[in-house]
Amino acid sequence: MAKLLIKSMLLLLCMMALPAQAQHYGGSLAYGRVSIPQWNRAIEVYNFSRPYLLEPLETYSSNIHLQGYWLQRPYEKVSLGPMINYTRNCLNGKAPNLRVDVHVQRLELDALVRLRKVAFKKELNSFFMDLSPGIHLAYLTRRHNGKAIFTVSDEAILKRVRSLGIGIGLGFKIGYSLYFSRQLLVSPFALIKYTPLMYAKNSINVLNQLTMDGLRDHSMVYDFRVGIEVSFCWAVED
Amino acid sequence: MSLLGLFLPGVLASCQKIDDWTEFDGKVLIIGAGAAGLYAGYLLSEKGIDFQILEASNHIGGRIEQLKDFADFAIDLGANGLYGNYSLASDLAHTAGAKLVQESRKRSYWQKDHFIPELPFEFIFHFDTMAEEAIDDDLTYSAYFDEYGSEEENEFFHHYAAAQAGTSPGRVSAKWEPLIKSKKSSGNGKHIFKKSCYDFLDKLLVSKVSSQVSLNTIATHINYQENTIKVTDASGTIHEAQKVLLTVPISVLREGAIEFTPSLPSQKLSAFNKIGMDACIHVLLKFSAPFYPEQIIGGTTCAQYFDTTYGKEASNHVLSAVCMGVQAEKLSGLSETEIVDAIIAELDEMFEGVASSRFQGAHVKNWWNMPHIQGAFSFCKPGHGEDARLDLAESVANKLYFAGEASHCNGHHGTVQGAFETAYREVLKLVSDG
Repeated sequence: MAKLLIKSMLLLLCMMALPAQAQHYGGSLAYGRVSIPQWNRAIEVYNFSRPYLLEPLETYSSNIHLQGYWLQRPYEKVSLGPMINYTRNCLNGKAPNLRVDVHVQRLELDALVRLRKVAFKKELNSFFMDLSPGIHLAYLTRRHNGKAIFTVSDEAILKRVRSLGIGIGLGFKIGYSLYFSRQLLVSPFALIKYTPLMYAKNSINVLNQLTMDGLRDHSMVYDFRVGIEVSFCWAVED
Repeated sequence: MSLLGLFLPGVLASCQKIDDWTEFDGKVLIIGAGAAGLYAGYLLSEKGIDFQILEASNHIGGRIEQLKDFADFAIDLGANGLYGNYSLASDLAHTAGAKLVQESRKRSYWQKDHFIPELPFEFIFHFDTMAEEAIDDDLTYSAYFDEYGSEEENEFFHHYAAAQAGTSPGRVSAKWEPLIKSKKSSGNGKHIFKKSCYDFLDKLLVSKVSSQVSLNTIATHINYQENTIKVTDASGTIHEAQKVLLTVPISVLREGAIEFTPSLPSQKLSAFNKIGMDACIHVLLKFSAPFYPEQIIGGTTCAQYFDTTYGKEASNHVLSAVCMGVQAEKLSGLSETEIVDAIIAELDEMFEGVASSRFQGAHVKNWWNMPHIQGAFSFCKPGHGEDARLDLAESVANKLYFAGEASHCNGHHGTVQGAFETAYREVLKLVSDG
């Protein structure tokens, strides 16, 4: 898995190093509904087993996404580039004398393929479609009463309760680019993304403090996002 | 089709909330009011499900029991702490406002006839690597130490190592015990209650379920042929319910103290015999002044002694001697006075007669002689690992469910934490089965 990750990262770097005819930087802010069934099931089991919780631990449901990308040949029918996406969630629960926070951070490194019906030069406002396969990472940590938890695995070694998940995801996005100027585009979009986290050792343990429920560590992540993308273009040929 | 198959199952599963599983509206009978039985009762009461707990003895708590009038502080006679700081039990303790102290006792090691400052290196090395080395040969601790070269003079420490598993070195698996224990997720450090383990149980659970507990009610027969299960107790009274959750110790199940109609599946009966549970005697000794270290490891009569006042607010001086397995069986044949004499004699040998000169009184708790408990806690016998515990945890005909520390499959067997976890696992299963 680690080798695959390294190879994919190298591929992205190679893409970035390709000679560019134009440069197109973009960023977006999106609101997303997320479904991670196995994780949510683990949280529901956690809540079921602890009726004394005054506020049950929240399930993973929605979040805000920050995204950045770089495209070469932005005005062509097909343009390519790397994309990075970051989200952070904090799920909370409360019991007498105990506050539980589960922090979930997700980082997606995607290869972005943007398709337009016609080259952008000929029609300023236009639909586009993105396909974005990539490597997705998820990092889970847990805090009790604001403090990170360490389980003592040895007298000399402290082991933090955490999990790193790795998976390969595929995103599909449609949007409509609105022309403000040759350098500025604003595009509302909708995106769905599917990521099987094939390796997420200890994630169930981070979520519900157990390893015994028959809940599998690997999980499926289903994203649906809507948002606004703002892009800045510098076309070399201009 | 394949694309839909990729997306839909997960999305649909995510829509199904746990509340949808809880369609059960019948009555549940819980056999045993130990940690598992009490926690199961607590969960059922919170879910609004009708239940009753049948307890064979005259008190609540099972292997969590406290002694109040022996010293100026409450003493746990059974379970006295929690392993790790990351578990359901640890959360419960926090919620109940219980104070815990991480155990870090200063140890002294008694080797045949003298104290040594630390454990011999080869013993530590072999103990640490036991799981890996014993992976091919399913040996007992004794056979393992013989084969891998721990010296004969370390035999006393072998007894201590096995006592941690609740037995003697000739009975516990050097493969399965460390392998399964390594799966536990709570962390390793032991945390002692500043008050008592029972106190914490009492605060959070007992008050919520005690009205549903029938004491001195010994279940002797369970008929689960019909939809309504009939549990007959020793007085002949029949209790009816739609589900029965058994939380009695594995030793009681193995003894056949409860009859089943129809008979339990052979796999289940076989599981009762594959999981070990051995004798245990806890002797409390009160002295006028302390003369002993916080922990003594390696006695011949008793492999482990510890200062009972550790982490407590106390002015009395009490030492615990906890004998397991063969050591406990040997003592069990003696009267209580003879047991105390044997322990005092060993301490006198270690401390040149000081023990008997400062001795003020003793209390003996023989867990092996308790008819509804019969031992300490479960351990892995050679040849039987997770399979036996999984078989034990398997429900029968969606009517009989089995909880308790012995049915924990992921490293928490033999602990209060294990008992709690199996209770909620079975309650979840029970309400999901409908």
